[in-house]
Amino acid sequence: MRNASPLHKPVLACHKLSVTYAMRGRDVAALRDVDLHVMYGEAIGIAGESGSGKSTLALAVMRYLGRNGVIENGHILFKDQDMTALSSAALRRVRGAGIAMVYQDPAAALNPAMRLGVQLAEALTCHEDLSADTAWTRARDMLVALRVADPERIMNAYPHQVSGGQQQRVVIAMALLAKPDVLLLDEATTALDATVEAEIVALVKSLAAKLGTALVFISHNLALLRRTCDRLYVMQDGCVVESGPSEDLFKAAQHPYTQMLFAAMVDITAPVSVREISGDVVLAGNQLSKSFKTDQGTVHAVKDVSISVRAGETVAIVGESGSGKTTLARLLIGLEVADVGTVSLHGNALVNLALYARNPEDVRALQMIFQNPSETLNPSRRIGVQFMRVLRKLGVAQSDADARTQVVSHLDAVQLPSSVAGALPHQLSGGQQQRVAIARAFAGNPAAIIADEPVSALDASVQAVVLEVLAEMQRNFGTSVLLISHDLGMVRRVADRIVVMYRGQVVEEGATQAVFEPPYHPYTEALLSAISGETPPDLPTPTLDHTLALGGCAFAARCRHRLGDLCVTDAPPVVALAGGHRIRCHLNFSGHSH
Amino acid sequence: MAGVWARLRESPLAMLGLLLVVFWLVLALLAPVLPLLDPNAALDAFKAPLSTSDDGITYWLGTDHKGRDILARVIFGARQVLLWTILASAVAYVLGIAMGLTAGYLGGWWDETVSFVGNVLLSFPVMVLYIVIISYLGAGGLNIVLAVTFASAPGIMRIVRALTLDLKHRDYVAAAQTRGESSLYIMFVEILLNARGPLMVDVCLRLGYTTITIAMLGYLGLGLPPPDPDWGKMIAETQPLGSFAGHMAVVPALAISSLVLGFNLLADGLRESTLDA
Repeated sequence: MRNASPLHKPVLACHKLSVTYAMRGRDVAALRDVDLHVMYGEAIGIAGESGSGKSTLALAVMRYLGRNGVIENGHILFKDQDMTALSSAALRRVRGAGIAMVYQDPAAALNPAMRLGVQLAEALTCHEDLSADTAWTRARDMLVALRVADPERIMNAYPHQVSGGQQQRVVIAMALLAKPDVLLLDEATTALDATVEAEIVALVKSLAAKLGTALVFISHNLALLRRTCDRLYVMQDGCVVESGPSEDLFKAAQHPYTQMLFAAMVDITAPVSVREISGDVVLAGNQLSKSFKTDQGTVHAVKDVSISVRAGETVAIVGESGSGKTTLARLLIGLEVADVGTVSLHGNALVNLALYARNPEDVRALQMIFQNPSETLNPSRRIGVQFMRVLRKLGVAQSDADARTQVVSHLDAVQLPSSVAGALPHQLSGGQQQRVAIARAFAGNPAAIIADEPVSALDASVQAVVLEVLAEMQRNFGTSVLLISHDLGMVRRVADRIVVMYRGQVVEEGATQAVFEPPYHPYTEALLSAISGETPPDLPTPTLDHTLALGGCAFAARCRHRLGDLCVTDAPPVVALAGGHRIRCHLNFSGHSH
Repeated sequence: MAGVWARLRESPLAMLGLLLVVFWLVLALLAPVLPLLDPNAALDAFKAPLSTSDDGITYWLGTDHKGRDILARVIFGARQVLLWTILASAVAYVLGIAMGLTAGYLGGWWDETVSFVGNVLLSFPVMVLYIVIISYLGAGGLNIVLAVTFASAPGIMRIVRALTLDLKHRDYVAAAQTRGESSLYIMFVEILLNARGPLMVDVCLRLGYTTITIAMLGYLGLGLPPPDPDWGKMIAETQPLGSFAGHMAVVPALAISSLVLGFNLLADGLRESTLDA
């Protein structure tokens, strides 16, 4: 333990910090007069969207700016020494032991050719004079403290042999082993699934409290910052536009940018709009299964999933990475062919599941919006040219002149100016690219659209705009939408029905309101508590990775309501509740009135 | 692509490369209209550079052992070298791209077959391949094209196949599939068009290699049939006499080096400027 902290002094402070990057002969200001401080043992958050300068700030503090980044003026004070004046030898002593940093991608932080235990022990021995055995033991203790399942196996594994969540735990363990005074976490948990993120953040917070380490969370995730940080800084265009205690900011933000960021946040207590959907089923998948062969054996990506979307309805499929939601989408549209099961459009089962063998009318009837805005458009062709091709190919434009006029009106429908037609994709922002993709998907007036994580790559404020465009297009065209997302909070705003998937199976489905109210599937419950942040989920360490193989419930390994061996050995039944609400679980839900 | 040109212009080495390549291309194209002597006419033998004949003709780069004007021979030689270099590379690219695109995009047994044949060809020592093909079919331009294609197409196939394997998983390819585009359209417009950056770099490098190959074949006597001037053959013919009339071999050697250097510098420049384009 460290000595009594001088609580009223900052451990780290920036005064009037300005940083510029030299880009192709021009100087671009990345930080402008940033004032910021962290007290000993405090947790602060830096919020902002992409390009706001929050990562530059972290790099500047570590003196890790690239060769083209220059600290123009200002000071960075760490325990009263000016980081901007330190020699590289002195900087080496501060980095790691004084200030440690964890980045978004753990794979980039770990040496792929060294066992994890060796790398962990090295973090200790390079700062302290320790025997190899002591270092090894302390490294293992830190993994135990971070609730890593089977620490001995992880210590002896190479990075590629463990999951992304486990890798990030190892990186955080490595940072904490040196007992730093300040730990910077730059979007460190962004790439992880929501339930895993909530658990890791809660663990880091409690460990930091024990070690007296101050935490700086850099994130775009305001819900996470709100429940984790004492104080918040909001950044926009390289400036701190507002700062203050977290709760004060949330209750009474002054700056319009902060207000806009908070407005884009999801309120999961807000009422859900209920629409009456009574149309015919437009798109249906019946008992679809698909498995892939990998080096680790056969992976059942989708297992016996049935799903249907009615005319004008929005159905959301929610799940974490590996839940099979994207594979399900690709099976429905025909980019992958199901091993078992059928797909039907307007009640007629398709004879050919593969996309290239479908007849043109079925191809036109089902379109897709993809996840990554920067990859959704052909980078080499102007927007107008590729859009005209879509219109001709789908048969909605009879001539080039006709197509040219239609392009302008399609762009206008998603609130883009006609000048976009002359642009190349890289000249548009991510939100604009995704709006072009939405316009393109609706261009052939399809019966149904599958949207695969259409906004997950966008900033929160842009997400809201793009979702609104999607919803408006759907209303105007009366199209059915199958929305795929990892974000339960986001789909709440737009979905009529929600289907929750876990490891290739549907574990819960029902009307949006019903899914957000008890009774829950234990997995839905964990997802909800992860986004609300009121009670960090207490998911037991997954040690039973083989429950599916034993015929049990896929979620048994992580379930906090597990009913002993029953859940491990027996497949759970599907319990039908009122209003088409169904939950696949052994728990007894009869006590709930619905 | 406009950005690539702007960045290419910022690199002095890339511009030097472009200058060298354009220099030889212009000379080769204009050779028939330039005021040159007949490249095959026997005049005064062993004249030094800048010397003058009895009837007042200046031999700017001297003459060779048979009394032929070296300036005219180098410039007419450039026509031969560039013609067959470009033709051979073009044929190799058409074949390599066709095989690489289809192998990468379609996959399956076709990929396995094409990749296997490519690997077998790549495992042959290139020199042996040339000598076997040309000594069997005889020296001549078209046989050089054939030999270069055999040696280069498998390498091009592997590059195009690797690029295709990467690009075919992009969302815009899936978007093209979901609007019912044919495989041919997807391969050329959605994939090949977006692979052109790395391919342009490879084209420049391979033009340099092919220039060397053609010069080497000429040097070994496997090149173009006489009397057409050919840089490699010019070195081979005059090298034994180099000790007392060195310019006869040095001039064509410099020509080869400068053209190859030009292609390589241009390739380096293109690599730099397409990396983050």
